[in-house]
Amino acid sequence: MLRLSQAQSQAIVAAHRANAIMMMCEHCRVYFENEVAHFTQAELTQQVEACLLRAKKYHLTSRRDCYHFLNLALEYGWSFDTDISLSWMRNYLTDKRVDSPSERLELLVKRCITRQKIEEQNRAMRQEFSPREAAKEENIFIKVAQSSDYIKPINSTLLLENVLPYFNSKALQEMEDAAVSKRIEYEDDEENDDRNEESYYENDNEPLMLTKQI
Amino acid sequence: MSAQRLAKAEIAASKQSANESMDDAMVACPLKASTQNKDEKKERIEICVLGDADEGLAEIAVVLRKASGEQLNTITDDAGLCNFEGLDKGEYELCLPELDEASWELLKQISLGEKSISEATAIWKPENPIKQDEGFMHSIVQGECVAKLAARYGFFPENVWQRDENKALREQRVEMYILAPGDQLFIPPNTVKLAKINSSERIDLRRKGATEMLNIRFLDYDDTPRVNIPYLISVKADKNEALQDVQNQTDAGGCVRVAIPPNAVFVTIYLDKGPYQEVHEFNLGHVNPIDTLSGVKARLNNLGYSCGTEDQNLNDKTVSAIKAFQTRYELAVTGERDSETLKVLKEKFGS
Repeated sequence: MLRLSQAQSQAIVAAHRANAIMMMCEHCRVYFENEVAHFTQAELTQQVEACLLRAKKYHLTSRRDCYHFLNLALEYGWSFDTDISLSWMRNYLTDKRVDSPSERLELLVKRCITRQKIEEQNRAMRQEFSPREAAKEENIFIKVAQSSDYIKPINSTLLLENVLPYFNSKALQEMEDAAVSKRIEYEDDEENDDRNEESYYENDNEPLMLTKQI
Repeated sequence: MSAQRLAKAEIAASKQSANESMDDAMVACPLKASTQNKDEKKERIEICVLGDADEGLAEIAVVLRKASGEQLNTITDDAGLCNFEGLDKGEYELCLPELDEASWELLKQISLGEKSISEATAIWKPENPIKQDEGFMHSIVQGECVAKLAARYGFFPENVWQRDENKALREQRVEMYILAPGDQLFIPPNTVKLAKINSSERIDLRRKGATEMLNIRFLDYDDTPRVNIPYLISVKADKNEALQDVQNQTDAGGCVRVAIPPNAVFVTIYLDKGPYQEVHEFNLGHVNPIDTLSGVKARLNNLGYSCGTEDQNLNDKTVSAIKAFQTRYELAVTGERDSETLKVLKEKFGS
């Protein structure tokens, strides 16, 4: 009879889990290519790990449930379950009228797909019936079409304790830093312009050259 | 975001094991499991909850009880369906715990036949005792009416409106769809009903009063109905629910008529196509009774006599609007809300 030591069992479990995470990362790249484009493999692995930890808070531990939860995270945002504007989703995950957490998740997934179908049909109808109004309404639909939309969660609250926080990919963080730097530069330039404008009028003999960097 | 993309990802997810966890490196022998379960045939029950127009109703709480005092709890999906799997053959009790007994009925029970076999195992929970409350007075806030509150608390609207405790309100307001903020409506105690059902059955139930009719009439300035005008109507409900837009034409009376859920709060109507298209938006349930100034102003605004904000402020603009209305319908032009003016206003507005 084959006997395994505890260390051997743990090693097998660890290897199995690593393989399962890798499969999930591959699933992300196949079905949600835009959303994970900026993540390196290591970053995506950590992101998926954080997602699984979050799913565990809702007692979702089976492989199928983890994939469902991951799909929703990629579709609606990594912090969809704490986003105030998506509180209806969290209501499903915590609905005590349903016994099984898996069943709650399944109902949520069905509801999401149904909602999206209805919203798509409605958009098509409005586009055909009233193109001008349809164009105005485009902005109200949640768009997470690319990973740069995941800079930070929208309107999130800390509803779960001790949750491993999501982080940006290095590429996304650099993009955000660059955007912040540009904004600071522009604001500084505006202040300089105001100061320069004052000194310009103070000294009529030597007007200053005003320059802006945008 | 695309429904197709999520659906495809979900198909892939559904192929994963529902029994293994992410940390399981070992699984039970499938041969051993199948041998054990060979003689233990489990059955299932399928429940469908329909509205007045045979539409499936989502998020209706359903409870299945067995004689031993245990129960299974679930809610219906978007198609109004829910299943109870892994049941022993026998009789059970079905209950809709959030609905009053008079607000739902059993439509039909049919055998599932071959589809009745289930491979799952039911995980029974201890029975929750049915909570009997005593009823309470609800203070109406803007936008509420009997239909909305009946839907919220699980009643058929007429059953709430016809209660003896609401007699004074009935005599004062007459219509249950037009109440004023601050009105007191008695919500009766919820009486829960149990239905006997059998395993391997499909049960269809009807939730009564789950649909209301929205009726908006469009008139030209000379009161001529605007007939056969194409429209697109978009309804928003509370809880940010997504509802299907409807496209149609105004009828012979110039009316837009569409079934809506009682929890609908906002409607947008795109009237006509092309460069002359009009966009009309309505807050549902916000018109106050006609004996209030805000109610008169709302009606005049809707009929094209602009009063400005629909509040309790009797300003010059409101007086001018009342006079214009009285002139139009050959009433005594007083600028006051006399009984004759209110009578005609109610007739022209429709409520």
